[in-house]
Amino acid sequence: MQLSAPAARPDRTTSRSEASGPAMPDRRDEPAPVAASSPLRAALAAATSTLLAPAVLAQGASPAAPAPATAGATPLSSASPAEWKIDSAVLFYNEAGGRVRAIEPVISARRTDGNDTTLGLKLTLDSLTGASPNGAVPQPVPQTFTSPSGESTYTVAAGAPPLDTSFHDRRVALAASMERPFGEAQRLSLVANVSSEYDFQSLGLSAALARDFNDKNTTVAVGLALESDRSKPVGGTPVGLRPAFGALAERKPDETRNVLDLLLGLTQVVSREWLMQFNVGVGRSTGYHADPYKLLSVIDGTTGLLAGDRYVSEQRPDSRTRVSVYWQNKVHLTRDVVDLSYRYYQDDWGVRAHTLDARYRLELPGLAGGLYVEPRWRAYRQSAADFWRGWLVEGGEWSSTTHRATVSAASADPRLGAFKANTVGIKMGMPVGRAGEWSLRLESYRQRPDRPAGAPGALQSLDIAPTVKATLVLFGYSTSF
Amino acid sequence: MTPSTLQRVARRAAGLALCAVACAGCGQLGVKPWERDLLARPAMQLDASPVANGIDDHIYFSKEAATGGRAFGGGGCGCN
Amino acid sequence: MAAALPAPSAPPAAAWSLTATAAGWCGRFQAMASPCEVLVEDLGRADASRLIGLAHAEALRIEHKFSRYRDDSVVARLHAARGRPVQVDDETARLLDFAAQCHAASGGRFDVTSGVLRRAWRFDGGDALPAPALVERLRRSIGWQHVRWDRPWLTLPEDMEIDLGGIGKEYAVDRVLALLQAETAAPLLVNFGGDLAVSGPRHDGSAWAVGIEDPARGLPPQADAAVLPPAGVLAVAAGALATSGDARRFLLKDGIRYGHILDPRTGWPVRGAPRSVTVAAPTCTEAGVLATMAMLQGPGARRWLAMQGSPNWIVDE
Repeated sequence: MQLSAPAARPDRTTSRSEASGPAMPDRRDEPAPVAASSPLRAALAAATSTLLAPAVLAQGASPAAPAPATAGATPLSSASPAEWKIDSAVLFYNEAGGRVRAIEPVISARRTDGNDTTLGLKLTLDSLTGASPNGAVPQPVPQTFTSPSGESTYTVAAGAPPLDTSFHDRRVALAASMERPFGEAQRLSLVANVSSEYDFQSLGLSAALARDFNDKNTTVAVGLALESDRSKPVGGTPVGLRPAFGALAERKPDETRNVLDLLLGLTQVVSREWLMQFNVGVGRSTGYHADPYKLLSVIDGTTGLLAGDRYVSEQRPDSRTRVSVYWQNKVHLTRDVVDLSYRYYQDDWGVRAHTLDARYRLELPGLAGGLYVEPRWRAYRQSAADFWRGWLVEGGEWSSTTHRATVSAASADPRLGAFKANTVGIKMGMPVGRAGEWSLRLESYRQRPDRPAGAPGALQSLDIAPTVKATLVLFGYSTSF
Repeated sequence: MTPSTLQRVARRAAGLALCAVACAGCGQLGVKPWERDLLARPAMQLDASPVANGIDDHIYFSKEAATGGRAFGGGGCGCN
Repeated sequence: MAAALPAPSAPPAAAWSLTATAAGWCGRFQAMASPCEVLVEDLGRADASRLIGLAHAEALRIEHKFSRYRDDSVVARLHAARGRPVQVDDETARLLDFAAQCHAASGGRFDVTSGVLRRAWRFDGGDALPAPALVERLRRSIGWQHVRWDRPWLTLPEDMEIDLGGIGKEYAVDRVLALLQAETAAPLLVNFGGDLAVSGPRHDGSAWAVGIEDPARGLPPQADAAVLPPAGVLAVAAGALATSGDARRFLLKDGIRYGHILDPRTGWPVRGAPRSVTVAAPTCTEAGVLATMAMLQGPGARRWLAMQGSPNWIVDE
């Protein structure tokens, strides 16, 4: 039987009480439901039933006060019913124009026991197919590339954006986490994760500590994460800024990269309806950062046509330091909830990015028992990395006589270029059962790169910075028991 | 970005964070424990659907250069 | 894979705690200056959490509504009216009706206007008795018979006060139990600092074990009292218990113990009353009034309770 610690109140008494009366240590009494046996009791019983009569209770307090996600530090050891929380989702991602298509199922199970310790396991499967840009610039004539494995070639039509069609990938990732109270009003969280795909492996560890202040109105958290990645590209890792194909192409053994991240977080309850979070993150990664499958075109500075060594493998700096500042607000209106966040990002590659994410959760009571609709808008813009270029100019950044670049790093990866991106979407959620929810999210993502300036010759009439359009469908189901 | 620029940015960010902490520590901000009814609702959790948010983070990690914010620890995938 | 920080990705929690028991859950919080607990069996953690949240919110609602320390409470509004009629809401009206009935049934001993006496009496275990002149002056501001109660209009003379503290806790126990019973059929026990009520027997049909307060130890009645060496252990399978006692609040001067139950007719503590009286009744409110009235009988408490026929346990001087 669970013994709860009595609320002991050491009391100063001078006279020892001699307990007397019907209730004694060796006697167990049952107060039987007696009928009123005195006029006073009858009167009292009647008065009490009038007092307590109303079956409809005052709704002064919030009628539905579901449990908070974490109960804070309340340790008590016992064998007790544990609580499970299952969270799952399947993503269907599709880029227009035959680009990347992905299916990504994720399932996560978390178990909280009587000690308020939560153990979690999350499995992610990622299956990608389709084509992704290889960094070359379109040309008015067809282009042929050798696939990274070297075993086949693929041809890109005239004027079309060069996409590597041999792109397919399957990834499995597993994350294990533990969260538990750690000292007074503190919570510790440890996560270990491993991810594996045929050409890339990653191992990560993170630890974070959070502490509550001000009646749990303020929470300060500190986190540290370490990650170690290994890149094993098919066909070997190209040495950067060397001709991409042919005899002059150089390969080197597998490369690694290590990342260290530090996160400082502050959560503050501003008012009964308004919760705010403020995070500052600093990270530094060292090692191999390039995309081994991406290249740059070498073109003639006047005609814009391929020249000299034609294709060169990309090269990125071997270190990257980044800072992000994140501010999120959740405001509860009469029935709806607004979620507004902003993130500023900057790194020493020259990338600066602003992200604005707004969601409005519109509750539709009376419709199928708690259905809600949540439109979402995300606006993103980033500036190009210092070493980003759309192409290399023969005789400028690249010399085909020496087969060397005059720059130390160069990449035409659209992900490092300057662009604006917008996500517009809507999510529908429906609570089911006691604590479950079905959800469906439909989103449209549009990435519009800034057209690089100074496009020479033939490139002026080509779409050298095509917009990427993607559609997302996300089915979700979560439950707890 | 030169090391000195990075230092400036880092210092500015730390200063912002300290300001926020100072403001938060005012004690005027916040609610009494019995006023937490709305904050306890699932819709008001900062990370209400961690799996969906994780998928989101992964998508944007693979399509954009910026990372971080709500969570940290990077992508763990080769999608750069 | 991204890892989130533990608390920035989770909200600050509510001010009640939930711990597991062998057959269910025990929710604890502080309300009405007492340690409160709600025991529930046969439910999962999420359901139990929800119930504790409801109990906590309702307890605080009642506490704040009738608190004389808050300037937004009904009581504050009544006192601020300074002799003018005030219209009260249904819940307050029912409590005032009940107070009127108790006043009549107890021959004037049970009086919700006796709160002014706290200005004279501070029961802190010391020996500072108030000046008789002060007590006499305050006594003139006591008397439900001077209050004009014309439902829903209450007219309180300017120097008088209403203090519902005598029945507030027991009333809250009954209300919270009813609120939770509307949500679940699971076995429940609601215990606010010793005033408790149960929804019925435990999940296996047995009675809840409640330890009687032992004034010498100063421990409040607890459910799951196996850990206490109690003055008595009661088996409660239905109904409610309330305890009236002076274990913590008293004055001691010249070897005479002055308990904190004040007789509104004299302004002075009841002499010769038992140290503690625990009464069982179908509802906590009824039990609480019976216990208080018993204490107000002084030396005749035991005989008086015997006449009422309520199960009771008395701890004498």
